[in-house]
Amino acid sequence: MKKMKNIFYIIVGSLMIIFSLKSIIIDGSEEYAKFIGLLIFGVIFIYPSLKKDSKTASENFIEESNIKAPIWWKRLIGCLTDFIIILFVYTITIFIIANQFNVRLDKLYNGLVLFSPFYIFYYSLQEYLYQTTIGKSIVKLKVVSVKSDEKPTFFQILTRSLSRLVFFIDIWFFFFKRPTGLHDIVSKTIVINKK
Amino acid sequence: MNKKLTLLLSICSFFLAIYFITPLLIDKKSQTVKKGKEGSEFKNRINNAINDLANQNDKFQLDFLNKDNLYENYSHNYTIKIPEGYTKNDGIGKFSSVQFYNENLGYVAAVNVGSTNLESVNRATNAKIIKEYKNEFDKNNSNLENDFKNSLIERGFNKVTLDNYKIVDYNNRLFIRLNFSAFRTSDNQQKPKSIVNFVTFNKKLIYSFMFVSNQWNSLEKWEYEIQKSMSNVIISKYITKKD
Repeated sequence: MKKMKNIFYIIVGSLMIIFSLKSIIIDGSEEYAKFIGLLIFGVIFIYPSLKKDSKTASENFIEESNIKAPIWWKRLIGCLTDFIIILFVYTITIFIIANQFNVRLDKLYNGLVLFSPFYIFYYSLQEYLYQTTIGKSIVKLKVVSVKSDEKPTFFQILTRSLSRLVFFIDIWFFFFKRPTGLHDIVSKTIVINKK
Repeated sequence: MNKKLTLLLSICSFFLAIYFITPLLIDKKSQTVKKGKEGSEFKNRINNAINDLANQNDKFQLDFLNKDNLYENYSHNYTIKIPEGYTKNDGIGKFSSVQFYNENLGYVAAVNVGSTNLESVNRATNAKIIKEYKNEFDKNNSNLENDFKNSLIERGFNKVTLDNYKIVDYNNRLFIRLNFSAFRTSDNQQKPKSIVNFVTFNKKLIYSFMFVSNQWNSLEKWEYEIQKSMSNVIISKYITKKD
């Protein structure tokens, strides 16, 4: 399973890099943000899988500390609850803007672009302050740093929240035995059960 | 307490930032469309163009409908294919538009041409204007929507609703297609109507190709008639009378 996971990450990462290079070299695209973003995420994907022991810091931490990682459905419930809350706040905000400015902002800009700040803000703020979110607290989970076994730094939380934006790839971690997502690996954090 | 205060302040700051950034985002989007144009003055001028539709050109109509039902208008240099079995009616008043109607099916195709304050609009400028219209509709510009609705109310419709809109291309010319639902009162009875209006600009003129259906249950056939007509719409200076 571990090997499969690594191969999967390498393929996805390579595709990202190839796609970004193709868009800039062959298509002559001027979307530099997209190019840089894809390139960075591509490297982030590939790097942990090519490491010698091919174990991520999060996985080493789980083994060394003898921690029981939370069951996948716990994280799924937390994730879905948080998503519904963010979606609700986002919809209300867009509705208020439509009334206040007489503009449907979601029609002017890509919905995902508008949704992202809400997503990042929601997770960053709560996980930094309380090491948990509303969704996670329902299923009694909290985020810790694998470096110190304690509260993650702001940078770790920010990295964690930003890497969540690759939602369609990050969500795959639910299908693996040990629920360690891309955002956990990249930010060197781990979600554990609250004592 | 400290954490709660930080949480509260952060949430307030986040929504305050949204409040201040929103106008900038709207402006930025408008600028990309208006680039190179004269800003709000340009927008006003194209908005006025819609009002001008109500004031038809009183220019003498020189036109011709051949046996294949291809209608050519030499006064305003356009062609449109009229479906079989339609009767042409020029009206008799100063502001009458060219209408084609099928009494059995209840379909009406009407062409209205009005003057605008715009100066020699070519295909490229027309494309920009049409995109600007779409942009304004996206922003829920109620003034623009009401201008279109009022021009329909002026033509005897009521309870006019704009169902949807999109940009369409026929023969290398962009049109904004507006789909309306409305009613027409006849003998105190409200009869439902569907209206499709295609709007485009050429030179100093605004062209409206309007299709009205009496029936809700034959929209597929009606759409076929619309496509047949619109695919033959050409506006060109070369559409003139034979010597």
